Amino acid sequence: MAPAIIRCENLLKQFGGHVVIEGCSFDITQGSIFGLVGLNGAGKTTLIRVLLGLLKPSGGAVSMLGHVPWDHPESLYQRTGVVLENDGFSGNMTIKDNLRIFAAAKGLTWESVEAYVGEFWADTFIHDEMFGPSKKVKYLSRGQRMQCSICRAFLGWPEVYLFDEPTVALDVAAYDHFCFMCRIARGLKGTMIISSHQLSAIEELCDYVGILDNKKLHMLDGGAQASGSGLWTIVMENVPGSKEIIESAAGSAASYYKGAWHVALQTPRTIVPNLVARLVRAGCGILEVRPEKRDLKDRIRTHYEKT
Amino acid sequence: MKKLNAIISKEWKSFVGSDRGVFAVYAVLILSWSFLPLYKGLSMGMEDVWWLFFSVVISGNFSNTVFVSERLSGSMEILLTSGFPRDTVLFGKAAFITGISIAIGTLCLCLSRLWLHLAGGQTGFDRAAFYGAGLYCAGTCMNVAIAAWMSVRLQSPRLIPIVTILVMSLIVAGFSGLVFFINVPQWMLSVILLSIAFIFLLLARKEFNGEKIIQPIHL
Repeated sequence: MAPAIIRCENLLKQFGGHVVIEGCSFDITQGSIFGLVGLNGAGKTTLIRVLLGLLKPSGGAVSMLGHVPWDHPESLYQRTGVVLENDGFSGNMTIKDNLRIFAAAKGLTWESVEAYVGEFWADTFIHDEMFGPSKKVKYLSRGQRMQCSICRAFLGWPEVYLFDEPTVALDVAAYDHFCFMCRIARGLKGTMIISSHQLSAIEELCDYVGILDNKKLHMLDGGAQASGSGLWTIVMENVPGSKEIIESAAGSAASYYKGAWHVALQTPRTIVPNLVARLVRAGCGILEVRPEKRDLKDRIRTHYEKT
Repeated sequence: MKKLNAIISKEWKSFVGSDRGVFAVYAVLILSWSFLPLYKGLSMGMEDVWWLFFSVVISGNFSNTVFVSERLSGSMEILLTSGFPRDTVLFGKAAFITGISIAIGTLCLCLSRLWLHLAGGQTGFDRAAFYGAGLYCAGTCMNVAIAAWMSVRLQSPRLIPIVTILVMSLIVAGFSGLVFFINVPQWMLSVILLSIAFIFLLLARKEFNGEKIIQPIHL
């Protein structure tokens, strides 16, 4: 079993009398990516700030890489990559000069930064800014600044990554590059927390998903990937008599919408071949039979409906 | 030490990369302030006070850029989580403002002595010039330390220059009152300013290690 890199035990965070997070406990093991979702104002950014030692926990215990973040250990920050709401770059400086400062903070040589950008950011504007004529950061677009933040976060391939809305303003190519970098980091046993409203990113990258809701963290069963809902879709025309055939084979009610029948199957392995054979015999032209997937958005909605 | 240099270098590059208008404003300030000693009616004590308030104007402006704008934009939290110790961030920024303010003050002082020389008045750096320079440096240290502390504590940190002027006025008025009643050497004012600077630097250090440093602020 991989060791827990980020550990949160019964965390309480309150501002004055206002409780934001309560009884929050989780372990994130080495090399895994944890997705953090929740409604606006649920406390995702607060949780990330507590994990980073920017906010002091009001109760409970937090540890990251064996350190207590609130002690502000230098070695913890040197092994952590962050993307927060603000990019933190000095607008009057070029991206090259900015990266030079952050490389110094992490104790990296300039040669290693150049090698990193040359190898992993070769097809991006950051490469051109680094090795060609560069402009001040204040003249870059929001998406470009976010890419620079991501580039800085992976600088030196730290062991822990905390990302708060890392995909905001990214174009398709930049988004794909972010996912590419995350996968490399995971391959290097990097541990990651990604907080985002862009669920496609969470679904694509994360091993676990936690929903911050009503001050507590609820782990979503089955991870981030889409899972079977028990419903099946049979794409065909609504031929008279087909409803009866499907319902008798399935033993449950079927409904027709969006050009397909939708029905719940208890034992699809035995029912589906029998059902298809009966429909074909009845002269129905079947285009496709497939299980319905519940994506992350549906599962999060279900969670909120339950709670 | 490397990290302290990195912070100072960051602030320096950020200043050098400013728009040309910023340099024009500083040039006008330096020039206009340097002409002041030419005014014949200015007593020796008054010239010192002008130097003190010049330090408020210069270091107040730099404090706004270095401490306040970083908090306004929210980029302070990135700096604090990037591997720089918090004390290094504070002392690096404070060292930059102090250094650049003293450099500007020295330039202004040299220009003022040049104008005096050209006007056929005193030549070279007399005792008063050195005393004024010392007072300017002490005043700058105090302004920077107060600004660092207030950038975290004040709800509207843009008011830092105003509050610093107020604090400076109170100290100068208090010292003038003291001199009126008892015989206090002139250099005592510099000592008082440096002592206050030290106290506020300790307070600022405490604030930089707290969680208030990342709380949102308003103009």
